[in-house]
Amino acid sequence: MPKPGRQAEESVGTRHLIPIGGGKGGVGKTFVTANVATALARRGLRVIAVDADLEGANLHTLLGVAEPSLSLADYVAQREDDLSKLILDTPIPNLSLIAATHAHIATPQPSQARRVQLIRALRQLPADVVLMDLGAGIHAPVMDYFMVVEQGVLVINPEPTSIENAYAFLRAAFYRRLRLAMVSLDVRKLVSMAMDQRGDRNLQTPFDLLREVQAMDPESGARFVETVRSFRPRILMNEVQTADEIRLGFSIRSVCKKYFGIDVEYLGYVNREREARNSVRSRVPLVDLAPESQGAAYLRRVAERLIEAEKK
Amino acid sequence: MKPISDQDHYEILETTRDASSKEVERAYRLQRATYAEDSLANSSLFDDADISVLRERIEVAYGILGDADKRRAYDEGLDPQKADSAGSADNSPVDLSADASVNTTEGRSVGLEQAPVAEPKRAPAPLTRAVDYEEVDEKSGDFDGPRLQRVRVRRDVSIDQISASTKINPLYLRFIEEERTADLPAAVYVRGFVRAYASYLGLDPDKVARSYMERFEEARERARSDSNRASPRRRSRHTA
Repeated sequence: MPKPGRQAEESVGTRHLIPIGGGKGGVGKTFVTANVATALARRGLRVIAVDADLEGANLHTLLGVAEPSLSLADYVAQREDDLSKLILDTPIPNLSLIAATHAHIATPQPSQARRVQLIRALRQLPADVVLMDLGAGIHAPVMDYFMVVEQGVLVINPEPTSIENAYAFLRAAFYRRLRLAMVSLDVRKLVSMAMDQRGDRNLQTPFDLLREVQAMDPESGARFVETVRSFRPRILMNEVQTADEIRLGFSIRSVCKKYFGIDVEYLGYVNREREARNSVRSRVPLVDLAPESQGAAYLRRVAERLIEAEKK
Repeated sequence: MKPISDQDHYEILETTRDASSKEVERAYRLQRATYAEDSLANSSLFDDADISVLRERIEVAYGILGDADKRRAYDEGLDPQKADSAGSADNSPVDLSADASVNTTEGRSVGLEQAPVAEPKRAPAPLTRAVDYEEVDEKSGDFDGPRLQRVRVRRDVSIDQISASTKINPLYLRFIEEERTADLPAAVYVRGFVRAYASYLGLDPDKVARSYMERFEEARERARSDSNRASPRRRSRHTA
């Protein structure tokens, strides 16, 4: 049930736009998005959860919205140009949804020009917080959404595959951000060369690239350092079961610091919770279904920290 | 934003200068776990050689910061105005990355030329006098791996002794002598190893490193060219 122009009389533009990605499928991006969105809405904030996973949409299911009649796919296909007309109610007060169902099978993703429009429109949504649930992988649309802010969230499982994909995701975001920030065409070309993992041996690591950029153009070198300094992604360890798995988040933070030179914030962790499975089956977010559970408490804490960090 | 080779002991352990001994220990444990062989966290980004060097640096850093006296000496050594007092310390390892006098020779940033390893403050007892390299039996100005080995053997010093003092993996010391360039880590680290090795033997570290690294870079370049010719699209960072 779409609500055209909903809340249009209220303040225009969102205060917090937060993409939630992770590189790998099945790590709990959608679960975290649904629960954090619910926790923030229960706190009285106007929240819009946006399903940006056009090839695997199911945020609506976790939020208990059965058959979205309109979705982001309509915006992508240019059947609808007003993003606010795609906002749907959910059973949770203060929480709305932009679903991603019925995307075009052959060309689900928006063109680059349409993505630019979409990102601009997302910033204008009438909400305190807009959470974006990103799809898996490191293709251009996912990276573009992740980079709309400097502090996107990565959901990681304590498993080698998830961690490996998270690093691949960060690597892609890191170099794309750098390439965009560089003004000189020669330096941009250098960044593109560094993105080829089997490319020039002298450009294997971010520090190799920095050394070459500084040698080529000191001004670009300074811009490089500033771009890296401002990139502060956040990580969340999901489905942890032991203290070692909790500590893994600190280790990942260390690796990011030593390899990329970036300061990653360890947002928190969520334990593996039996109730989580029930929550998905019953299509009710865990923070509502079992608010007293440990998992719900951790998710609420993550939601609080997310907003606290945004305020800084 | 600093490469590992430029980081001081506090940065390596990711702790602060005012950290308590317990905090230093906690930081060390996390670093050790993070870069351990079976760690989940360090997969896929660093290569084996870099991880190996990093582990050594973590151990060296904790060897100093985990010891109150050594930490005090190290902290004082970081302050240029107190450099003399640091110089009067015993022969405990110090970090060359704190040595601001290291010069660049290849136009790179200063820190990249600094060795990421510990070096003895002074040579062990029989080698307290710095030996000018011209006094070594060979007249050649070049310091290659075999020559370094001959100097070492003549001084009756084992690889393990150098390793124990410099904290450099003995395997790397052996590779340096055997000039196995493909098995050695990045040049910046090798330069540090060679300097520490030379210093231990009482040789002039600058002269030895300059001479050795010239050959090393040439060998790497040759290997790179060969690799490009053989398979231009399938180069590996470990074997090139």
